[in-house]
Amino acid sequence: MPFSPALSKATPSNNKDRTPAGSFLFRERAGFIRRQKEVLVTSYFLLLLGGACQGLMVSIDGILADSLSLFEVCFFVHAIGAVVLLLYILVRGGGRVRLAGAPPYVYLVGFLGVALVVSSSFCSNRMGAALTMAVSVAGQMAASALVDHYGLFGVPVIRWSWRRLPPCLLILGGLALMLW
Amino acid sequence: MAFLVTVALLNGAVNIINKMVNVVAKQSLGMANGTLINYLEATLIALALAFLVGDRHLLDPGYLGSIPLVYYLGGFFGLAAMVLTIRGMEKVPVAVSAVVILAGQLLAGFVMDTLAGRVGPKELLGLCLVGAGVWWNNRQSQAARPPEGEAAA
Repeated sequence: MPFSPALSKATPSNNKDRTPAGSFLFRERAGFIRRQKEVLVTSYFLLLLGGACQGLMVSIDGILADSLSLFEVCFFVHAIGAVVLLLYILVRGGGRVRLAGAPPYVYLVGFLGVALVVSSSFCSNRMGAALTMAVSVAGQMAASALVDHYGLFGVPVIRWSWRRLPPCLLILGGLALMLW
Repeated sequence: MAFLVTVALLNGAVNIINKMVNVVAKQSLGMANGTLINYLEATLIALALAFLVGDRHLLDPGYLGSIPLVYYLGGFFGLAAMVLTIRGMEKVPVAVSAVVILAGQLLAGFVMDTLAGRVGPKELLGLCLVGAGVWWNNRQSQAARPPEGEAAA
């Protein structure tokens, strides 16, 4: 394999890397790193798109709440999702629907889902999706801090410290700008 | 406005509890079935509550058909969001993924509100401050997290 001046500029000054075997390994390593970066960029894009879909859902539900009641909005949101999921399970998931076998409190999850969609549609309809989500995020952070501080739900205990006050103030400042 | 802010804050708190319960559901029943039970239960509960409070639009196909079809896509977007975030979080650290997801949420919400004429530069600045605060808080939270295998006192 001929020696490549271009590759030699990228390799450290090490005679072993300038051998044919070393050049091959370098290219393999560079290709691996490039593929890893592509996977990471794709993952970031998927997360951004997923967040955007959540934002669209909140916004559209708020608009639908102009025509239907909040419980009716909630019905359509979950019914359509249930139909799509059922089709997925039947077609791609081996066709097995299994709903038994979870701890009893898990079966209260439906009430939580209703509460979430009803409250987000209610707020989004009246104060807009962006402000609704910003305030909701503040609520999530407060709840997360409580859960972590007391180790609720079996999570590791992470005590709240005063070092976390500045980011909280930043969030409150942002909310104040949006509200007034 | 104070009432709306309170409801939105509670929405965030319930969201955390919902996530915790959903994790257990998925561990017990698998990803698809764990999510399905959430959607099925919520469908039935919402239907019961709608009839209980006297809503009758669901019995009027003509009225339901007069609403633009795109407004019914909220459920589809919710499911798509779940699938996309699960796939994205496979390679990205949790703290970073939370901020990226939030950025997507706020961006989409801002665009929709801008089209409706509800927001302007002040609100955009506020959103940026909220996003920066969440990112900063997540970094400190991750730094304070005990290493795997250790239980904090």
